[in-house]
Amino acid sequence: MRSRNFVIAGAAALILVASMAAGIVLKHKVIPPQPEVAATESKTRAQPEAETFAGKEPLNRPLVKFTMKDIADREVTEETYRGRWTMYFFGYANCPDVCPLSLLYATDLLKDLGLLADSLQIVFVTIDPHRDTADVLVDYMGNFDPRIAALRGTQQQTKDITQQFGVYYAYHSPIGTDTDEYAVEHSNAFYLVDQSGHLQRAFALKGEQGGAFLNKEIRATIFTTPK
Amino acid sequence: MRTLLAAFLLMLNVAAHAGEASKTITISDAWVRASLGKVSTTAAYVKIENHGTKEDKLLSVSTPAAAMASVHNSVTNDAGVVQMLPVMALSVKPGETVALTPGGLHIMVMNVKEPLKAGATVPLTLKFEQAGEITVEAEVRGLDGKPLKR
Repeated sequence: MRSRNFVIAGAAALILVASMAAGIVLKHKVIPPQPEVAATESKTRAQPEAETFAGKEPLNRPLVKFTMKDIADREVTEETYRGRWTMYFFGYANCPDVCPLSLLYATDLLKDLGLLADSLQIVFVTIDPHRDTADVLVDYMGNFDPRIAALRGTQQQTKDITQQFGVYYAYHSPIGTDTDEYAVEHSNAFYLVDQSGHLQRAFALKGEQGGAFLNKEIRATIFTTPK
Repeated sequence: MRTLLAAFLLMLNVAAHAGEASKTITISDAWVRASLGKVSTTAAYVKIENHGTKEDKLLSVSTPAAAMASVHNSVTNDAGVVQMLPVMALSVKPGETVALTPGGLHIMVMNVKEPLKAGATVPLTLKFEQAGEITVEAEVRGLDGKPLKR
């Protein structure tokens, strides 16, 4: 029974990711992915497979639209950061390994950019609004560069914003006895939105690629005159 | 008296072997990321060296500082989706060094009993299939993982 559930879940994940890939490839007819928000019980699961973003950039996706709140409880929409390049990434505070690393890279990036940092807004979006209350986020973000914005929304708003970016996320079964202990599998990419609000780039750091790679990509995208 | 002596010798023998076995595996550079604010999940990292002639496997990890610790691997696929896959038995082959580092293999530390502050140390017990239990003191470090002491 478990293995059957697993097969079904695996097939669902494949379809999900395939539709996500399709959403990214098609320029004008975007099929947004359907993030699976229900808790699923699967310790061994098929890894979502999808095409890479590489070679398809600039993505030139339609305008990103969303309504969220920042940690000071101010409403933030896609208009808020218009006029500057914006780098979005998605994660959650209880993420033990990858998210603090991404936030550390973002912190290092801003420091390294110096005055150029004014041309870039970095935005961290929680995909776990249930545990990441405004309070938790204020505390959490205090460990990183204060110029990094942190956004949270209702479950629906979170679903909406992730669809805009083609971000995948899924909650996984409580690991301990406490039901508030769960891991969230999620897109680990950095998303670059241009001054006019169009998603142009999406890339994930792989293997040994660290903060230096991110720095290079950002500089090449934002501070190099396009041909 | 004789049986007692035999038992004593046996114990010595066992102890000596345990010592020998644990030397085949050495743990270095053990550290835990300081917990961030109210968040009770963090990660620990170690370097495992197998000096022996047989493969060994890391089966489990525990620490008195948290309710749970387990080995996971952060894997990012081509679609940029990161998953934390549980690693039930982490193989360390003879002569091999397996380094757990941020962004990949890590020990997920869940439900820390109290906030872990940089500069403190926490015991980390690693249980191996062959070498048995090895306890090391892991330094609590800041986000960049840079050693604080030495």
